Amino acid sequence: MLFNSIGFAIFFLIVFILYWTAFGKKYKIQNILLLISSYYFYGCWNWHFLLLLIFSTGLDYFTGLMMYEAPDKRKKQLWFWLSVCVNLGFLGLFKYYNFFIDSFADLLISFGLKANFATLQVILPVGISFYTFHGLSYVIDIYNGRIKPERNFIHYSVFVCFFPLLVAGPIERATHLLPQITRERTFDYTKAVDGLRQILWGLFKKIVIADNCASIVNPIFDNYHIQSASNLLLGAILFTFQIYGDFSGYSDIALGTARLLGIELLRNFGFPYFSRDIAEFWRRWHISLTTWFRDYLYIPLGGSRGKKWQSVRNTFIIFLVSGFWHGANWTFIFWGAFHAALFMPLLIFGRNRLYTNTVAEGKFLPSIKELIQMLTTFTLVVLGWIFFRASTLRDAFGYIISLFSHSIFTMPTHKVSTLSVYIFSFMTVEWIQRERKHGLSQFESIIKLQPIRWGIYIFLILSIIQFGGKSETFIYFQF
Amino acid sequence: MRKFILHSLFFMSIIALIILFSLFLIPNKRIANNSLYANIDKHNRLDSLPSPKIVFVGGSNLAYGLNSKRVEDSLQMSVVNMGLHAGFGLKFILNEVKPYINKGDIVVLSPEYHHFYSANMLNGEKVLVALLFEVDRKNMKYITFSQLIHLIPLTMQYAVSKLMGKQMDMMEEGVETGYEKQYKRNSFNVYGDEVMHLGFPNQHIIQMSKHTDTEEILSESLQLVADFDKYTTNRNAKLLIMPPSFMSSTYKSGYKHTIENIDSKLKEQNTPFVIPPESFIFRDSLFFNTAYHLNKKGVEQRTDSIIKTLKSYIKSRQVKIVI
Repeated sequence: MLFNSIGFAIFFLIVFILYWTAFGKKYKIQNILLLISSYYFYGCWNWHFLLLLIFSTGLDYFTGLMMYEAPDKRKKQLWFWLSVCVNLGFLGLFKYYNFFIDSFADLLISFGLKANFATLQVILPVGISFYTFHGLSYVIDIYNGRIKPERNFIHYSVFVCFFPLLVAGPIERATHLLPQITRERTFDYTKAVDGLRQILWGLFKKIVIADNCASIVNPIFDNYHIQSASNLLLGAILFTFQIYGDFSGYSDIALGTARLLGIELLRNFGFPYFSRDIAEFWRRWHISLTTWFRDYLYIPLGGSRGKKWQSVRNTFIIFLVSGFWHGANWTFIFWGAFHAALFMPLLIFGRNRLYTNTVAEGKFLPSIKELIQMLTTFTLVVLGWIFFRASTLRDAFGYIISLFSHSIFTMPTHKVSTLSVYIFSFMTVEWIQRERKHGLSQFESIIKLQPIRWGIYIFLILSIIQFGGKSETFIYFQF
Repeated sequence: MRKFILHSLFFMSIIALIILFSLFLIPNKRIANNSLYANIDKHNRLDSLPSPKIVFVGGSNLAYGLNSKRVEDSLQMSVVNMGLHAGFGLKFILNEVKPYINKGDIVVLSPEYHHFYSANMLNGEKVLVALLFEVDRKNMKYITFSQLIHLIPLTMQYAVSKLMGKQMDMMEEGVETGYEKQYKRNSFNVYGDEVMHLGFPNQHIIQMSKHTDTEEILSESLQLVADFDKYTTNRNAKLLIMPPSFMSSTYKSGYKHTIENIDSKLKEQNTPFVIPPESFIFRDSLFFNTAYHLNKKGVEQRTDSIIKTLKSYIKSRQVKIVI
C-alpha cells in the first residue's frame, strides 16, 4: 500500500476517524488500533514477511527485558549479541547474501578458479533495513543504560511498526518516540493542519516532481549508451531532483501522517540542496540515518577522539557502511566512498563543521560566495547520484565518460519545459522556507490572505491529481 | 476536531466541484480531428462489414504495422484494422469487438507485450478516459466494473488536465516530442491503417524503460485472452494470436526474457502465438517512432508475413472442411 495511492487515503481516513473518535481517546486502545493497522499496512505488501516483522519485534522486546534483568555483565552481553546477531543475520540473509556469494564467485573467477555457488531466490522484505535499525537502536540503548526496556509489548510493537515510518523511516529512537506512545495524545487543530500541509507538500514532491523526473530519467539511464551527452546531463540533474523529491516527499508524508495522529517523528531532511559543502549536505540529507550511524557506529569506533588518522578511518567506515546500507551493490559502496573522498579534506583541515546554520540566514538572497558554494556542492552531489542510480559500476563510469563528448552542446531531445517550471517553483518555495520545518510550514505567516492560501493548496492538489494515478513506488522502499 | 473535519469536508467539496465542472462543462474544442476519433470510423466499418471478415485487434502496433488493403486483396476477405492505441487497455480492446464477431470471422489479436504486465495497460490509461468522455460515450458499455474503479483516479486526472489546457498533450502523444502530425483522424485509411506516417522519414524513437524480470506477467491478462478465445469459438469464429512488431535493440536490451515468458505462458494455456515472436522482431531501421511502430518498409515486410500466415491458416481450414 503506497502513500500515494487511493487505497492508503481510504485506509488512513478510517484509522484517523477511529483513532480520534471511537475509543474515548484512551491511548492504550489507540495503540492497539495503531498496531493492528500497522500490521494490516505491512501485510498489504507481503503478509509472509509480517511474521518476520513480528518475530524481529518480539526478539528485541524479549532481549531488551532479559538484558535489563541480567544478573551479571556476561549474561547481559550474551543477550545483547544474540539480538544484534539475529537482527543483522536476517538483514544479511535477505539483503546481502547473494551479493557476497556473487562477489566471492567473481573474485575466484578472476583468479582463474571455478566458482558455482547457490544463490537465494528471495524477495527483500520491504522496510527490513529500517525496522532492523529501529530494533537495534533500542537494544543498544538498553545495553548502554540510556533507557529502560518497555514492558508493554503493544507499546513496544507500535514503536517498531508504526505504519507511517515502517517501510522507509525516518529511523526513530526509543528515547524520542516511545515516550510519545506511552502517554495520552490530544487532538491539536494547528498541528493537524500542519500535518495535512506537510502531507500535501510531500505528495507534491513525490508525484509532481519525482515521478515526472523518473519518466525521463529511467529511459536515459537504461539506454545511456545511445544518449547524447546533453541528454545524459539532463538525466543526472533530473535524477538529483527525483531522488530528493521521492525520499523527502515520503518523509514529509510520514511526518505529516504521524502528526495527524498526535505523534512527532524525527526530521529527516533539512533542505539539503542548499548546502554549502558536503559536510553540511550530510547534516541535511537522511538525517535520521546519518545520526544513527554517528551514535551507534562512529562514536563507538572512537569518533573524532584520538588521532586524526583514526578520525579519518572512522569517517571513511561510516560512509562505506552508509553506502552499503542502501543496497547490496558496488555502486552504493562506491557512492559512499565518493562522498567520503569529498568529506575527507574538510575533516582533515578541520572545516567540516563550518556551516551548521542555515544559508543566508535572515536574508532573502544568498551572497555570490554562498551561491557558488551551493552550486559546487550541488554539482558534486549530482555526480555522486550517477553512481547511486546506475545498475553497475561499469554503467556509472560509462555514463560519466559519455558525458564528456561534443554532444554536450546539443539540445536534449527530452522536452522538460513544464517540468522545469515545476522544479523551479518547488526549489523557490523550499528556498523561502529553508529556515522552517517543511515547504508549507507556518504558511499562514507568509501568505496571510486565506483565499490565496487556499488557492495555492487547490493548485497543489490539482497538480497532484493531474500527475498522479501511476502510483510509482518509492525508491527507498528497496532499501 | 469538529472544526478540522468541517474544514476538510468543505475543502474536498471544492475540489470535487472543480473536477465535475471540468469533466462535464468545459468544452474540448481542440480535438475534433484527433486520432482518437478514428475509433468511430473503425467501429462504423466493423459494423458495416458482412461476415466472414478479418478483424485485426490490438493497439497501435497494428495501426502502424499493417497494410490491410493488401491483406484484403490477397485473401479476398473484408478486413478491418481496429488497432489504435494500446493505452485503451486489453479489456477494452477485446470488449469493443466482441459484439461484432460472427460465424466465419477470423479475429487476429496482436496485443502489445505491455498488455501482459502493466495493470494500466490491462484496464486502460488516461487515453481511454479521453475516448469515453470526449469521443464517444457509447463506448462506456464496453467498460467493466473493475475497470470503472481503476479509471476513477485517471478520470480525475483527465478532468484536471482539461482544466489546465493539457488535453492535447495527453491525447496527441507526439506533442511532447514535437512529432504530432500523424496523430490525426484523417491520417487513417478506410481500413483503419494509419497511413500518413508512411510518407514521413523515421522520427526520434521514444525509448521505453528497461523491463525487469521481477515484474510478473499478469494472470488476468492471460485469462482474458483465454476467455476471448472461448468467446470467438462459441461464435463460430477463429482467433489467431500474432505477436506485435517489436524493435530489435529494445528486444535485446531487457525485453527478451519477458517476451519469451509471455510466449510460454500463452502456449501453456493453449492460446499460442501462431508465429514465433522472433518473426516480428525487426531491425531498428524499420521503425518509425516507437519500438512498436513500423515505417513503410516495415509495414510491408510485416504484412507479407501476416498474409503468408493467414493464407496457410485458411488453406488448412479448407482442407479440414474438405475432409
